[in-house]
Amino acid sequence: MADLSVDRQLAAAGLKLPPGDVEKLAALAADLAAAAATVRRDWSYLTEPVQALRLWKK
Amino acid sequence: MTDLCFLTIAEASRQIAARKLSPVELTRAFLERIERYDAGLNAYILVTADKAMADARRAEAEIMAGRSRGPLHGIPIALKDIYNTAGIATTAHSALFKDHVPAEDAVTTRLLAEAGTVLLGKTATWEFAIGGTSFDLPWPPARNPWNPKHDPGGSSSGTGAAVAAGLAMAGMGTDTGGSIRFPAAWCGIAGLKPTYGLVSRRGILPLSFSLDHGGPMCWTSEDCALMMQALAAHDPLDPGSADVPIPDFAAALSPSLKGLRIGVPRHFWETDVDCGAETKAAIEAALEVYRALGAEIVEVTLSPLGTYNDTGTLISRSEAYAIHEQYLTRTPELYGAIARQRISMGALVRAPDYVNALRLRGELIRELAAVMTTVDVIVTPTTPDPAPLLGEVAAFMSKRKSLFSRAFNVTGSPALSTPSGFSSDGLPLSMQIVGRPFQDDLVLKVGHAYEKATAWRDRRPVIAEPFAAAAQ
Repeated sequence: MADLSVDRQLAAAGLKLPPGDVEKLAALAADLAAAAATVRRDWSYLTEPVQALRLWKK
Repeated sequence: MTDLCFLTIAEASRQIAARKLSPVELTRAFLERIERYDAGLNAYILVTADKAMADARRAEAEIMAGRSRGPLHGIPIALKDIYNTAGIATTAHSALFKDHVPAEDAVTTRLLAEAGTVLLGKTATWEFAIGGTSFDLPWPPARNPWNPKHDPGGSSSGTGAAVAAGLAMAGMGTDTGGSIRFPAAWCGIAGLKPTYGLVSRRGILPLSFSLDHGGPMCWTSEDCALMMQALAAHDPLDPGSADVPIPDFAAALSPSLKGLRIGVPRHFWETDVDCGAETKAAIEAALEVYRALGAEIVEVTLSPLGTYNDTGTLISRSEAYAIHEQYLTRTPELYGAIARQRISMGALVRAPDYVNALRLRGELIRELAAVMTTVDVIVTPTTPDPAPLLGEVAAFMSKRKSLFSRAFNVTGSPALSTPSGFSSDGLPLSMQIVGRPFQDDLVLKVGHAYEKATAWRDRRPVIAEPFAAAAQ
């Protein structure tokens, strides 16, 4: 969804927000993009530890 | 009456046990003080006066009959209004939940009741524990007792204000990115975010499943320890709950820290964030106190604070949106603007970014664990500056002015905020003490030793009569 504008992303999510919210979210989207860049590392499933969710305990 | 309201739990419980103080008298003193001052502070959304008096009479009868339930018996407390209370409205400070009356208590609500506490009422919160200081909600925002023109921090704003102002002896907050420690810092009290899994979240309205924590907010770390003894328990119906031995939190408290190694990630406040000069001076002075108590100060390096914050932001916004999606898409008008905007950010997070945040979270947890094999605790400021004017938090906080708290929601570590002094204009400064998982008792010990070695806990806010009268 990165190629969509913020208002189209919100509409696609079914959110009908006031114009002030859309304007604010457009500004906050830059923060999210920066955060996404932070976590977008040179991940390699060849070397990283096993990622798992613990589903149950014995 | 005011003197009774400024007792700590430890002091009051000793007097109650010795039958020198009546829980009924104590509760009446708090209700009178709430009546007199809360109109100027807005700490409470709902005061449960009749229930409080009934709780107090029951406690008194049991104690007089020799059936003491322990140090919380007869102690008046308040609950952030996202803790479910059976038969009592739990609103999340939102028009959306204005008429929500739960059928059951939260596990923590029940545990505190079983320990004999007296429920004074439900306290103000940022809407759904995320909304910021808002003026478009059914209730006004809480104010800072040290200066009501200033912000109390949040999201557990009402509990922070109530405890600092002597309107509750203790209270409960929740913490997803700092919401216990942040208001504790700005209101000048102690607040513990326990280790993830040590305190059940069942029956607390969720914000972010993997980052939410419930915990105590009190005048002292010792009082937090007394509260934790009732709160820490395995809950098989909270999948995040840990089945671990529960320490004797109060017994672990001692003034000596000889041999303790304190890690100091100085880059957090020297380079990662624009931290105020008074906060920096206070943390350096606190480290000197710790040296005098026998601790060794060790410089440590972690990933930049922004890396922890970005990781936490992506996770919390995604999880909050998933929780609120149905309500937000159907009735967005029932949210205040700040909560609606912050939660809606989750609709803009891409799934791979959420998953990569979880991947990085694992790395950050391992990084911190490695550092903590070399030190016993880590000390940082809690906030970069003291409280700004009410309602100016959003403008005041930024990436360069971030809290120091969110990092330890990402890692699930126990983290305590305790006051470290006062600014030149009389507002509280604070520091954060972080421990290894399930060493909450050591974190409280380190906070307690500092509080005993300094005089900050002797100073209480003075709430001006004219302000209280004018606001009524």
